[in-house]
Amino acid sequence: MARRGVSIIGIGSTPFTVMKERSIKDMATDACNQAILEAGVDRKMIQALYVGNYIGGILEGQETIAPLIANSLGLNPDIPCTKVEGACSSAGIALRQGYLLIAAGVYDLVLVAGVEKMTSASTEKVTMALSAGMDPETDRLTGLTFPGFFAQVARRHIKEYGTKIEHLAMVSVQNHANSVSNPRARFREPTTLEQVLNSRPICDPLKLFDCCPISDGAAAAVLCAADRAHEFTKTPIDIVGSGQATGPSCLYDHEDLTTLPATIRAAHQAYTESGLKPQDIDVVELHNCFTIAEIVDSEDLGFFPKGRGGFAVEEGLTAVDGKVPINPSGGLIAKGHPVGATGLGQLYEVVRQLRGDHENQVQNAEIGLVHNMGGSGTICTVHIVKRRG
Amino acid sequence: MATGAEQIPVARCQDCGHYFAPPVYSCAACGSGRIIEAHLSGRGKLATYTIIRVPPLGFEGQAPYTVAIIELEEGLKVPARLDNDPVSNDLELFTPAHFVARRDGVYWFQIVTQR
Repeated sequence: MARRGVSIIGIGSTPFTVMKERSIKDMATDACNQAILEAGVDRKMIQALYVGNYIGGILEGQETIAPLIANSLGLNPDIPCTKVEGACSSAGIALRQGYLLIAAGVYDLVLVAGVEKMTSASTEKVTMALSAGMDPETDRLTGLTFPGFFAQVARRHIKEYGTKIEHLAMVSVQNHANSVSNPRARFREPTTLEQVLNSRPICDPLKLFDCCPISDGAAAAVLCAADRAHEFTKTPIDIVGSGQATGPSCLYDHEDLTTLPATIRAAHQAYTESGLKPQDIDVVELHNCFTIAEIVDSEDLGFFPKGRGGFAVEEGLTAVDGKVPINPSGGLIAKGHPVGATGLGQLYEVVRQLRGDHENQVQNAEIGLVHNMGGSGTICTVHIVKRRG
Repeated sequence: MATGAEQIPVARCQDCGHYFAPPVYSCAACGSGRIIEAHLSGRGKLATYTIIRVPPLGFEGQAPYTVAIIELEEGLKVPARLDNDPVSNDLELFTPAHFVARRDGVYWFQIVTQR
């Protein structure tokens, strides 16, 4: 079935940082208003709202946030407003729902958003809340955590491919260097290999600087039928490929303990739909919740052969001026990871790259890829976006 | 030093014979609802592991503790806790491990000390 084209005509984001004084409603309203104002649309014309959020229920006691945000924004009460949840890929799913409904011809204008408020809770409570994305009858009973999940992937990757602890540390150093110029980032200071290697162990072999920081934030985008985008903007960014796939719910069910197959499947869908290949991508924002995740994702997305992701970082291939610039925003590790907002925060960064006005600009970026992962490699969305020539 | 392994209870599909880490409510391989308890040797190897030093609520008193994946000699991978105190980062992957007990739904394994 031929799908109708879908474009991004407006984006918005709060910083991804510690904002204890701001509520879910406040942050989401801010990001959405930025996107609506930038798009230049009358907010009453928006035909649907999708909001990604993961643990607002557990940490803030707040559910039913889609109508809460819609009413705060003053959207048309005739429209459906729906929260979607898929752990840390909640915002990627919100984006894809908006994309699908426009592509199918149901709507012309959809607002998509993601939001999370995390820093007001204790680390133990946040760790427990994040574990809600695990199987409660198996993995969670053992006291496994998401950092522990990726630590097990890291240990196996090191054993099978000769990936070095220093490779993991280099990922952290590069992301921290990238976020220095990003005003939306939580960390704005560079870090050194020694600082990363000497940081506190969290779940061996991962250390504190291998992990993304608990953060607050919201991000949003206004999506529009591609054939109407010119009514609102001279610089629409087209979504040319969209994929979502499912992986095992537990690490022990993964056939290969160093690969997250949901990434491979979602990427395959997005590459196929767009007719593009990994080598066509100019800039990537991928889901580096932990340093090892950046290495594994860069392989699973097809940028490097299996086992070479760490070496690619060492060789400078993923730097902002490298062959495959990865996470010039600082990624989840240094920009921050307000879990339910992250997928649209990644999209925000890539759209700015394709418009050519990012603070850490990749030269002449025309095509970008956004990879958003949730749970134990359980959910993945991949979107490929392109500026018009 | 662990000398022998206890047999490990797992789930098995009565129709297609597929093994699973329990609990399972229908066979994800063939769709059958006829799931029975079966026993495997309890001998396996350490597929990967981590030491949890920042635990979730409910596990604070236990940290640091070792969470692992054991690949049983029959091929099934299961989630496990290692019965090792003090915890150690020096365990080599693929080291033999023996099933000790299943407590509150959690498999406990012991590393087999090499002589």
